[in-house]
Amino acid sequence: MRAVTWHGKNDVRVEQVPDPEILSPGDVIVRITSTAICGSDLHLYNGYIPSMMPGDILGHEFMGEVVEVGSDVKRFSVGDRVVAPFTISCGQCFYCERKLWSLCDNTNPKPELAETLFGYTPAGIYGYSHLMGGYAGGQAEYARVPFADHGPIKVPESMPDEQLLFLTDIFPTGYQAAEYCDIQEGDTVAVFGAGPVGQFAIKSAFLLGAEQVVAIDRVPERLQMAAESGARTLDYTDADVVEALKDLTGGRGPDSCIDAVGMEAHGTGVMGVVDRAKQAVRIETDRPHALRQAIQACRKGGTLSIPGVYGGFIDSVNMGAAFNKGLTFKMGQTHVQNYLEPLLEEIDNGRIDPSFVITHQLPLDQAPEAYRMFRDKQDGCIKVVLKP
Amino acid sequence: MEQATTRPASDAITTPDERGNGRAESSSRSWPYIVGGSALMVAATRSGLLRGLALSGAGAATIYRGAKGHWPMMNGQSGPPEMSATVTINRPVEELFDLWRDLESFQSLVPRVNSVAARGKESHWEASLPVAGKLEWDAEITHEERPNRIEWRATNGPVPMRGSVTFKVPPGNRGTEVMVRVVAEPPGGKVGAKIAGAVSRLPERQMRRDLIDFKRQLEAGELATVDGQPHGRRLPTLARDGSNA
Repeated sequence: MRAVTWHGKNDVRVEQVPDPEILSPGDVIVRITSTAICGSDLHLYNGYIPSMMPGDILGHEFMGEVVEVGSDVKRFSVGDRVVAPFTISCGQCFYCERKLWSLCDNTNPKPELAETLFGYTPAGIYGYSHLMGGYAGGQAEYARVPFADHGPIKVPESMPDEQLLFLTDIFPTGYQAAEYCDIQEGDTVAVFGAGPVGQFAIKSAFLLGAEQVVAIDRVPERLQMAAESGARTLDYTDADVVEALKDLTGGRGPDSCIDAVGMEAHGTGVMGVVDRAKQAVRIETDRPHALRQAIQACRKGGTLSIPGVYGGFIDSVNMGAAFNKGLTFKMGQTHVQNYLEPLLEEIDNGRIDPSFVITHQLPLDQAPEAYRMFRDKQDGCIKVVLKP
Repeated sequence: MEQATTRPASDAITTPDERGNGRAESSSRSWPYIVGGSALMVAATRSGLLRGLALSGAGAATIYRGAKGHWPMMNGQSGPPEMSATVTINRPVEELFDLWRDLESFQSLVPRVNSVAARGKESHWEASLPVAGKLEWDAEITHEERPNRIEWRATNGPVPMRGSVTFKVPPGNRGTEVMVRVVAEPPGGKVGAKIAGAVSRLPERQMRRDLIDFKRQLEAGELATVDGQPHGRRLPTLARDGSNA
């Protein structure tokens, strides 16, 4: 089959590789009909996630049709149309029982590295480095889906791929981020980063009853899309974000802030330069500019919700501000399984159409161009769907 | 809950007595211990759980002895080498005890062991290892308290040893804490050398990994694996940007 493979910084290729096979009795094989490039794939593309190996198949947002079923699989049969969560969960451990699916104990085949870096290993993730298990990803014609009874759901034939594909990650991720804000009547939510996850966080914040959502980015097309969802927009390159947010909230500050940027923030000013320098020489693994602003901007007693991916160490984070304002931090990889059915229902009843975020559809073979375009935000690119 | 822990490295604990006696002796006399220990470790990493636990403990201890000139310490006490690992398994304590006690069904979860023939408290184990070939040993359960503890002694293997497994139920519906300890009882003799003691921690890590695999099979019904999945060309483009150490 053809698959998108990683070969180093700024080097992804489409290669001919063997088809995946059933390796464990709980596996299914999915023929992929649609797959997407996630913003977090750019962290791999830009070389900031350790433990990638040349030849690794990328991609953790994919859907398709079941073409082969392992002997222990109970919930699926050949021909089922499915979407698969980007995290892999066993469904049986302490964490899965408590619906903390992305913290599953048992699905990272190589837990030692993550244990060394994080103390304990989170769940395995498709196509997201050997730190996260080294699973082959879904930017390919076929993918192996392990622990199939505890992840994917069947989806109706009547709905197009474009409405369903983002159930795999970015819709639940944006939704969980908004849910973590525990939105109350009259709340203002500031969303840092209006990429795909930020866009879904904006929509979700409104679905959950936010009075006002403020989107912060610098890319005009992203701000435009956020505005179409009803958000107020802030271009951080020509505004003092903290002051502007204060002005928009009667001097109180946003009730909650969502950092949908993560480890590769395009910081401005001195700290932005310092972060880039430190990251370049590996003193600091992540550039936490959005996080710093969010901490500063958030009102007293507010919540900081972090769906943006961090991989390691950050510097110069004002813990004093977080502490003395009594902020609540909520973060982590998404527990996608909790959201699949409820959000499918939201799509089905027409409260949201996730396809709004798609700006480009390309054949899988054009993945290298697509990665470049997405990274450079060329041609109004916000979200790319690849067709195998 | 993946709460596998190993006890603190014993070589971090230095007693006044040890400092006095820690001087290395003739390095030539330490080599048999280091080589023998390494062989045991290799065997341990290629063998099944019980056997791996036992062998790796003995291998580490033997290397340690070769390197340090004394047996590893536990709680500052001088004594025979001891390895331990703990993991919490999300299953009822009785189930885990009964599974462990029924050695033949236990063996079915440990594919690297070829066979276990059990008769009452006695059992005979066979494992075939790619490098070391076929190995056999006998084991005898020396003490048991259902559902909390099993103790055993292994004989007729490369190194005599004894082990125990303890099952404990923590409060609040958190599964069962399973702690394995293995104490090797190799022949004595004074040796010493200057090789880093860190090597001695590898087998304990292996023992812990075996225990995690045991947990995974019981909880998830299978061991997560990526062996055999497709990938593109593994060309050494790694060095070019150096970002993926």
